Amino acid sequence: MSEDKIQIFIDGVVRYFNHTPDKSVQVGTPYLAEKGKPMALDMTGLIGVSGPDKGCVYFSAPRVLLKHLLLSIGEPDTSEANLVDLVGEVANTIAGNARASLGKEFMISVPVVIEGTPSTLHLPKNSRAYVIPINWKSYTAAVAICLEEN
Amino acid sequence: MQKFGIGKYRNIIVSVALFLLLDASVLLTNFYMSFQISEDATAVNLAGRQRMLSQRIMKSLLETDVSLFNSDARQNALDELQRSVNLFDNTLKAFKNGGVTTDANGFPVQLNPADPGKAQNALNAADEIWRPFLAGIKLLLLQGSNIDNPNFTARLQDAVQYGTANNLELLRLMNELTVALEDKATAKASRLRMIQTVGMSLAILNFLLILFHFLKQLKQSDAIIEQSRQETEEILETVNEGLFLLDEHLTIGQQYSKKLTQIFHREDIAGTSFQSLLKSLISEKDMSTAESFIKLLFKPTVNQKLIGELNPLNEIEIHIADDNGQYQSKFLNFQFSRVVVTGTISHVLATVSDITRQVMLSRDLDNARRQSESQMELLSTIMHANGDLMPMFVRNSVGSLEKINNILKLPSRSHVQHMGKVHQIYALIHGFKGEATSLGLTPFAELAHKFEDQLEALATNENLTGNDFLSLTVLLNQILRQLDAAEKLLERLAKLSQVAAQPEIAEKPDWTHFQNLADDMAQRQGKEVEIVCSGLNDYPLPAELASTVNRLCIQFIRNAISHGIETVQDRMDLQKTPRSEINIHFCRLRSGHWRLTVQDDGAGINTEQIRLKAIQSGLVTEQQSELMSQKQLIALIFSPTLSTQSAADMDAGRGMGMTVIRDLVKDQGGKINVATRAHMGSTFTITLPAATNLATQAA
Amino acid sequence: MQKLMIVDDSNVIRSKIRRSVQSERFKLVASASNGAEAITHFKATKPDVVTMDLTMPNMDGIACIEQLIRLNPDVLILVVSALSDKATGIEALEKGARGFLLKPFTEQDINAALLELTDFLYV
Repeated sequence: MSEDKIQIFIDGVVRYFNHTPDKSVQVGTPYLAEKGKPMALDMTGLIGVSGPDKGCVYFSAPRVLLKHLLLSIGEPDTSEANLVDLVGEVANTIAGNARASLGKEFMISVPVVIEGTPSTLHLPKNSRAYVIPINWKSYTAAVAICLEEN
Repeated sequence: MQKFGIGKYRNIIVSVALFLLLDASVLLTNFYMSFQISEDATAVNLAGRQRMLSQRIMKSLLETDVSLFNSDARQNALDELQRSVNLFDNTLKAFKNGGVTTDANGFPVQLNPADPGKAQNALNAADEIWRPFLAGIKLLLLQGSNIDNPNFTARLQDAVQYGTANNLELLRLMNELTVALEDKATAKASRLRMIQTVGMSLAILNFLLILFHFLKQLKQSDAIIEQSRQETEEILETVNEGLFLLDEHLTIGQQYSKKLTQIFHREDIAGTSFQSLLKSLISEKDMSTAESFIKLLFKPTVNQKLIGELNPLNEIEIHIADDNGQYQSKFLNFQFSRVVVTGTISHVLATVSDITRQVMLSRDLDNARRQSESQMELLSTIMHANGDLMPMFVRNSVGSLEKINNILKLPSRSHVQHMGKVHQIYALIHGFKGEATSLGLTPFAELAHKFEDQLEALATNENLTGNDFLSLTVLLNQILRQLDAAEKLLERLAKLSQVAAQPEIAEKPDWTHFQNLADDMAQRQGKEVEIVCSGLNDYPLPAELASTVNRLCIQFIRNAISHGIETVQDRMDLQKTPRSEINIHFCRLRSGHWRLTVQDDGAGINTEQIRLKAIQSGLVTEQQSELMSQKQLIALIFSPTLSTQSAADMDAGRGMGMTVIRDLVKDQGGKINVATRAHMGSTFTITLPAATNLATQAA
Repeated sequence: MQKLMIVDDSNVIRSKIRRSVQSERFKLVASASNGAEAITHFKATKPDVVTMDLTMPNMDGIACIEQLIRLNPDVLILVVSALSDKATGIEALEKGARGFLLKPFTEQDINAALLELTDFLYV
């Protein structure tokens, strides 16, 4: 997993937040998650990756951030359904960005939204996931990139 | 082929011919018989006329007789008599012997002689009666019609008399003839009906035979067709490859194997083009190459055995969305071969197999090979380093790197916070680098060096953001992975050495590496150490015991040099010999237990320092520590969180050394005794159970 | 006995093919190191079988095949090439070559390919 590829996913999220009225998005220092242990906040939008790299990439955020994000894009309805939509949309943006930059051989599946700790996440057991904190306003969300290493 | 055709239809042809023959013969018989019946009808009519004529003759005679005074009437009656007699006589002769007579219209009619039997008998009898009657009438007619002629009246009287006497008999006989002829006609008609019936029955029978034969054959061939259809279906259902036919426009045929639908996750394949099947799955270039390739197969001069290398689809990767919209990568192998029907290339048979597993397997093998190559590299690195220090290094390093990761994990937003992280990480990676260097682990040292370089770049970055740390995290992962690999290798080596230690009694081990280790460490710390060993080679040691003793000694030496022994300078200030001494003594007690004593002449254990450190690391509270005895304080050196060294350097572990010793001794069911005196040094005494005990314990 | 011409710009390959072919089946009548040379030899010696490299200076293999087929549509041409682009190989066959052998090849490979080519009965 090269640095460039990880950067593409980070850029995807940053791009999404940069399209909100409050552009104060900040990337925290990336770190490694423990092997096989997914890092997860309240809600997670997950996209599966296949092709030369296999695994998953996900965006995870606390509810409060999502609610605030909804409000900031002019959506007063912060119902659970809308939060799910939002997380899915962010994941979609990441996927779209990756597709555009990484080309066809990088196959990305339709996003899946999971609440709570994604126990069903199929994290490759032999590699550590990269977690990139995304600070927005006073909240922190994260992008995790977990791809099998060859 | 044609011969086969006739053979196949021979029975049918014979049956139809027989049917026609039967029909024709029935028709012919019918024709012949109806002709006969019409002849018989004529005969019956004529026989009936004879009856009538016999009466008319009689009537004419009687009329002649009563017309004595009417010459005209007499003449008429005589004429009538003449005609009737002639006709009767002719007809009678014709019936009897065969011949020509005249029918009602005056046309000649040919009659066959009547059959012997009833008809002929009646005719003979009639002839008998008729002949004298005819003679009499002829005589009468010769007399003219004059009543005055006495001959005439006499002849007339004779004829009337004979006629009256025999007329009824003649009528009866003629009637008999008629009946006989009628009977014959009836018999013929019924024979004809019978022939017709039999013929028709045979024809119907034949027709039924044909019908059943046909039906049976139809059914049989239907069954064969059905069976072969079913077999084809079964083959297509079960075959493990995608099979389909392509015509020269690259259109897919109507039948294909089920596997094809599974490979491409679609059902609507029949009649579509090959291009549409692979559209968006392979590159346009591959697609056009594939098209040209398949078209080559339709070119008869091209030798299909000699173009396999040009097949662009022999191992092609496709990414295809499955039924759940998840993308799957598959490796497919397409093989194409000609289908030749009667000398022309009708189709190309395409065979697709999913070779993902094989490809993955060979890639895994490649990976494994590459991995084992890098493992070999790592292995040679490890072998070059001191084998016993390696596990320690790995453990320490993983600890340091995890600390680095934990630092990265801390939330940080400001430039100051980021910079703080850079500095903290720097200290840790530097320590790691030192250890790697001291152990001669060049690949690790190089990675650490690269890490330091990147840190330095971050340190000078005035617009430092979290994102800038990414390359550091990637490198961190890389080092951790290398350490993982090293750890696995060491585990395997440990297992191997256990296996290798199978002969219970090992060769006398060589302990000179203690001095090497000590020299190496001491030199870095400005110290001088002499290792004095005794007793280690006095006993044949079981391999496991030797390994335990070795590991204990290494840890004691490391610990003594890092914590106990003073620098050359300090020792000189203290009036001690500049070169310190570590005494290792090993012996077997009378109880059978083993005793290992490690004695150094260093500074001794500073219990006050232990106390402070223990408080600092939260091991005990200040109050607790004040209540602790010297012995209790000394025991604290075995706890994993304590290190009396103020800063972690490359030789001192983070207090792990004594913990390792404690764990080793505990594992063996042994005991540790510590004696220490300030400026005089420390003595560690380990007692290990006898080997036999070990064995029983193990069992 | 069939007449063989070898066309390849590498004399190593030429001599390898020469050494490999069965002498009782093929009689080497010409060797050429480029397309133009091949045309000249072809006209003079009228070979039945030609092994043809694709990338050569002074008229490449594809153009050469086109010309040879024009001179004799029945000539059996075996393309012997180490191509990275399969489309070029296919083009050679479209122009009239009959078979393709990938370099590097063994002695058995070239022999088997030539026998397959000459013994092949068209459908």
